[in-house]
Amino acid sequence: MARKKKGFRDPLFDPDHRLFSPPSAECWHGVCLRSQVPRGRVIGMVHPPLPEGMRLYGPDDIPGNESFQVNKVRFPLLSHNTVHYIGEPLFLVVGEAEAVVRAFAFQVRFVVVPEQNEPAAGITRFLSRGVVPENSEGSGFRVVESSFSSGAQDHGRFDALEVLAHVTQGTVAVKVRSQWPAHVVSSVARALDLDPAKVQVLATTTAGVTGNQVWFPSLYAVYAALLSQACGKPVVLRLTRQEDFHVSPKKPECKTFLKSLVASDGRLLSLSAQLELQTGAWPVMAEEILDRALVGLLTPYHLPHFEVQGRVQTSPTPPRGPVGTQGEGLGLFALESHVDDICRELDIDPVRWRQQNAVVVGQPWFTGLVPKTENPLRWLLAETSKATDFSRKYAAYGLLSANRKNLASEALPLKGIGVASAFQGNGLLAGGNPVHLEGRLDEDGQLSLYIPLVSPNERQSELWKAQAAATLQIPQTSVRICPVFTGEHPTGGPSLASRAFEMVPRLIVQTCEALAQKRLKQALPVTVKSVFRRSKTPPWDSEAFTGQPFLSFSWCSAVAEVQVIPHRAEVEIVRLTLVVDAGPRVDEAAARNALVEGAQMAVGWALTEVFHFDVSGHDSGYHRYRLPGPRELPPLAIRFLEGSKELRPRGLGNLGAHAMAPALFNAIRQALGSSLPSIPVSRKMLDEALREPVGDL
Amino acid sequence: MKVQLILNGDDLALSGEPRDSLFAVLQQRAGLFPERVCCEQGDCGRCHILLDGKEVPSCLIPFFQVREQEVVSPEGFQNTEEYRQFRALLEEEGLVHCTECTEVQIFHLFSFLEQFPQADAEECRLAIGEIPCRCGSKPVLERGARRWLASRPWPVVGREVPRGHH
Amino acid sequence: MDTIEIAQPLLYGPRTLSETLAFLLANPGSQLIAGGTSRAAEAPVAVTLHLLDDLKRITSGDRSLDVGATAPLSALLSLPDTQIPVVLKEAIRTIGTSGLRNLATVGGNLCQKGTFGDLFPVLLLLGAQLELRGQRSSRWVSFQDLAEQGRLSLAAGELLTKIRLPLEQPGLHFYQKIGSYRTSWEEKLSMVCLASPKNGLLSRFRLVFSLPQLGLLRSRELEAELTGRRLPLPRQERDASLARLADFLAELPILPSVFQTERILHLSRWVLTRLDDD
Repeated sequence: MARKKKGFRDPLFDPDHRLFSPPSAECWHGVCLRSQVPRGRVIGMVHPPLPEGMRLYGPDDIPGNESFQVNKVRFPLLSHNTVHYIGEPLFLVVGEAEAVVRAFAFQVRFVVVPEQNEPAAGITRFLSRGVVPENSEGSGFRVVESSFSSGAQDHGRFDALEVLAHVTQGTVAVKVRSQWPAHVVSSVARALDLDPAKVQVLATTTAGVTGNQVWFPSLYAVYAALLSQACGKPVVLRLTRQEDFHVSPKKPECKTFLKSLVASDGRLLSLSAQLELQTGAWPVMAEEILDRALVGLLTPYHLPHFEVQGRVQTSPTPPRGPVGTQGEGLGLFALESHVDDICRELDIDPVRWRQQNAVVVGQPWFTGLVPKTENPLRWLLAETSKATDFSRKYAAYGLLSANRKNLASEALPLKGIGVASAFQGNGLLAGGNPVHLEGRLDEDGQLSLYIPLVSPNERQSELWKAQAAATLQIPQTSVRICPVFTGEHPTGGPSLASRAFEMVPRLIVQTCEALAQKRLKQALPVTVKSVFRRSKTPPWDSEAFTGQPFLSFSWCSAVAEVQVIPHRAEVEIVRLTLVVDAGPRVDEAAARNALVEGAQMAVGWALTEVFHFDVSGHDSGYHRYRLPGPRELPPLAIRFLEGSKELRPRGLGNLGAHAMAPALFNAIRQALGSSLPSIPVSRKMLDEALREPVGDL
Repeated sequence: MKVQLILNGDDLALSGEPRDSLFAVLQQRAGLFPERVCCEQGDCGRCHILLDGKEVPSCLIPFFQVREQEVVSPEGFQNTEEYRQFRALLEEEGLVHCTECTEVQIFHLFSFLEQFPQADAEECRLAIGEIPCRCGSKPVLERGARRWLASRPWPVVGREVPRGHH
Repeated sequence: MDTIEIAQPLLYGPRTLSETLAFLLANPGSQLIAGGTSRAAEAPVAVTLHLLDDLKRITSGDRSLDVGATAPLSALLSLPDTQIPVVLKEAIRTIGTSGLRNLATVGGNLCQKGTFGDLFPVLLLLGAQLELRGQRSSRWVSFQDLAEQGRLSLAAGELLTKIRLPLEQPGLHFYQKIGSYRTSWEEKLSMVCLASPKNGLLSRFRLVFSLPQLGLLRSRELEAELTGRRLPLPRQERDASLARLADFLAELPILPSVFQTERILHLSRWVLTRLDDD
């Protein structure tokens, strides 16, 4: 039986894909007019005469709510008269010919009076647990202090953002690459003052796991929809790659100071840390990222006492986002680098130290919960060490490093090896919206699955179909994954790959088992709706940092072996090894692909991708930004830890990134015999380190 | 101005301005490279075509230079049997489709291997690395390249090109 | 806003060299377009050289290789190692991507605005020459002369047609290029070194650096000092030579950046430690 809600087209029964793919000749083109300064008060706009047919669109033209909202954070869609960051959209312009619109936009100048604006409210966290052991004289305890910074990172995807919006007769159709279609719906509806049921969104498959398409596309979907409403035409709003580079969310810059109290046998007794994240003008998703960064610091090792402070810092630069990590990678980088400092101080093998201090059965996590299954970290480290001959090389390269002066005169490369452990938290700390899934089995035997989370790629979609077909014992060709048209089906975004990976298969099995039961009792068609419920563990408390933070954890250990080439001031990566425990692999090729992707991101973050803002708010430039090239990306040896007790497959897309960055950093520091303060390790830093007098690290 | 050329096997006349790049004309007038963004520096591989059998970045070729020449775009290549075979081999190796670079990589890698059938593993790896992308497909492409070269008829090796013209 | 009518350029596509030379003489100031990597026609009159087969030829003789000015870089990579100095191939491989090398030409690399291009220092040390032809003239210019003049000066109606390089392979060669177009100038440089160890002696030694802001750096004193030395070079002698090189750099009228200076010294040390590798 066809279902139709008045005024809403269900594409399954009444498809009208023309709404989402109008002929290009019909589309008009929208461009953002942006502030050229980082802060101040706008008192005017200077532009050439507006060509015929083109239209300017300002904050006063917005019919609905003038603010854009992501969770608790709100900021202006188009700022009235205050500039908050360089590149902030202040006006929009739309016209028929893209080249003409862009040429006009290029000549627009805003007149801004410099003023110090009120910064957005910061976010802070303070956590303290346990008892500080007394560091009395003769106790043999050692205090180790470290301080590290990590830089911003661009998503690095080549295809920049493009949105198509078409407003006709009070309904809006939007086509956009987004991990959170429901947010697109609600944002567009808010701004255009429409019922959300009037907004249809086709979210196309996102490319990869960089995670920067969570909220950013919604903002531009709103702009495109506003322009379409104003001019009565379908509107394409496309960022050039350079424009995207300047304004799209970057991985936040992070500074961490750590201080540990360690017993002479290597036991970690106490960790205190201060972590500061840069979030740009608006702290969008900053709470999630900050909390995850702190979880990154606190999770892997047993901490009898800890005290951590986290802070989010704002600045007049574009807002940051979850790129390459949802947050725990930031804390893990600092922690794993600090652990190497501890090992050097105590002259302990870094693999042995990590194994000694990993949380084991019987010891509580930082949350106070006691793990029921063994933490695989010790086995992962053992496997990695064996596969790479880590301990022998670490000792040998350490000796070479001490003799650096002699090596320099022979112009030989400087060798180093580094290890790191890491984990990935699957799902969202904050939970995200409830995830529903609807399945309908029709008389013709076709199964339609309305899946609310966007599939990360086509292979994943095929796996879901295969799962459904196997559960219902129907041919896979009879299963269709319905496009994410919002409207009738509630959506539960944002669609992180790990969230989709863990929740959707369970929901599919649940739904199909229920359909199988129902079809025995009722005539077709039959429909079942399921909602995902987390297992009965204490829920996460973001104030107290207690409870179960994620759906699950995946773990890995990484070793990087490098050579620093003094005559080129370059790092040559000799070998990268990852050993992973993420449960059984549903799709081995996709799993390896994701790990390689993550490791590549780590290489870029640690070595080549330099991105920073200067005091005037300008970034270091698209032409200076370099993804790692083939000489910097050796083959990655990947092993999966077999015999893990965890029977369910878990997400692993960020593991490569989380583990490889600190492993590389530790390897480079050993090679140089130098305490580098930050990543990326640029050529300039290498040059300075090579000129340092050789001494203790 | 109008320029006569052979595009994907068809004789065609394309209109453009003298200052237009070939990429711009192919995209705007011939409907090729839909929704494709290019770096305009010859660096990203997204605009590559075959010009008289050699892979070149079309964003750096002035449109008028292809008069009477043969151009094959990735779309044209995708209609060939060689494409199907090459793609099938890569999928056997575990290729995970990347919406940004897979088609670009297939075109680039196939062209490179045709031009340099004696390329060793390192040269293949460097060639694959010329297409910047975040995705993790490079190891699969490297394996695929080695298998493809191994399956080709042996090229003539060890014979010097005689003195004279090349 | 007033619209300004931009006149379309006059494009000329000659098929023979004589046609080209006659046109250039009659139309001085014409823009030359070869591989196209220098972008579209911008001057009122432009001459595209892509139809000129004469300029694409590569001809090898017993002692030299003649490379047409519009021969693509990839054509040189396809030559067997016995027919082209291998150091030149190494330099070409650092230019762009494989696709770009199918388009970019040797002449284009040498004739970039304001700079000599990546291949210049290599061709300089190899002792190459350029052929410049006019409608009624033809002359050869050595790269050495070019380096001294600092720029390529073409008479009215002249065209770069050929680059001739001797085929003699040096015993040892070293090529290093640091940085790319994405790198800031302070961290960019390249080095070429040709050396001929013979019977335990360094019979020939040539070393040149190319820096974006300084052009070519070459210490004739260092080359003379090291030529004829017994190999392997003792560490003390090496260090003394490097100290003199450091002094040479410090006395330049325009100083290299700190990074460049360090790299020059490191690269020189690296080369000197490998001179006894036979």
